[in-house]
Amino acid sequence: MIRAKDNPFAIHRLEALGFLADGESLEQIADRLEQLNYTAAIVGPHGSGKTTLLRNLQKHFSQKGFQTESLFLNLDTKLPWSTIKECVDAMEVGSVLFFDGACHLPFWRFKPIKRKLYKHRIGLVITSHQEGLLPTLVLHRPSPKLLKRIINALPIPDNKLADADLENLFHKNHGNIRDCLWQLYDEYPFTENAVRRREDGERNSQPAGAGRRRFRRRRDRHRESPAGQNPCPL
Amino acid sequence: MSSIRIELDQNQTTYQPGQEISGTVSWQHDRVPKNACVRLIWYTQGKGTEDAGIAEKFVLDLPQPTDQRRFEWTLPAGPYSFSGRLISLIWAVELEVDKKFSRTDILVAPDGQEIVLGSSGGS
Repeated sequence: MIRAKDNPFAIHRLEALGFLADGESLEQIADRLEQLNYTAAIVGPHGSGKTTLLRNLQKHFSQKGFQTESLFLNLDTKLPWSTIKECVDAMEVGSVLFFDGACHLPFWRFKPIKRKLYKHRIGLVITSHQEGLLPTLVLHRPSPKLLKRIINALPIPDNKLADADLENLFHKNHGNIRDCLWQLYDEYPFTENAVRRREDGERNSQPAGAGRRRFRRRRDRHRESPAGQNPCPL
Repeated sequence: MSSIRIELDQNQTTYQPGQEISGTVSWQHDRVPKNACVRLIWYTQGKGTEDAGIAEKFVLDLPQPTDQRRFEWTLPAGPYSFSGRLISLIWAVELEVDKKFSRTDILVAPDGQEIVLGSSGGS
């Protein structure tokens, strides 16, 4: 059995990677946030890395000497309004509030927070599933390529995850990178059984005809692979 | 340029629950630190959100730019250091000097070995 702390997909290893995205560095995003008067939204679907980027930005600005505060709200975490209000009221001029899941607040609750912070020149960076609450800082569009980048950056001994496996995993989890990584956590160390389970799951979740198409893909992949090599390395 | 350091007496890293733990913390800072603190903590690693707790805390009064202090605690009776498939619990001594951190992991278990859940033969 692999110990939780040694699992390459453990949360502390993922957090140690920091922010990974195509094209733009954390510093460039931080510069854009500065241009937006520290008031902006990180937008994207579930499990696309919004919270990761938010935490990285908070760390970045804390290290630059900014006073920062954070709030976290999701559908399971019912943060009392009094706690949110207390936090907002305690913010000082020039500080920045990093509000994860601000989109879960009703708009009539969000609006006075936004107004108050703007009036007192306090930054507000939020994560949201939709655009429109604040100017968009980053619009996350998760892709199999991003999943591959994350996995390549992890310390996985003898990593034999093929691109096709990652694409299957990405689509099976409906593009939710966090769910992909949790599934890999559960399946690590990778065995034939784990792969079979994943494929069985796919077969059960796919519409009629998909199994035949997948069989044809696998057959074609097998034909393309050199003799004696297993097309699926797991 | 600053550095912070934790040294456990006899470089010990394995302890019994209830045993004394002692050591020295030191730092070199470019100015007088606003605050310095040494803590005995536990934290978790694995799948999902990490959890952490403070068992002992020692705020170091009037820290100087270059300083060295002793600490000494009695370790609590539990929880033991353990690992399962989903979670590991790790004990550590942590030093914080002006938001700069240093951490040294220790093992706290009755027979000096981490408890491994789901394993009949120990670690």
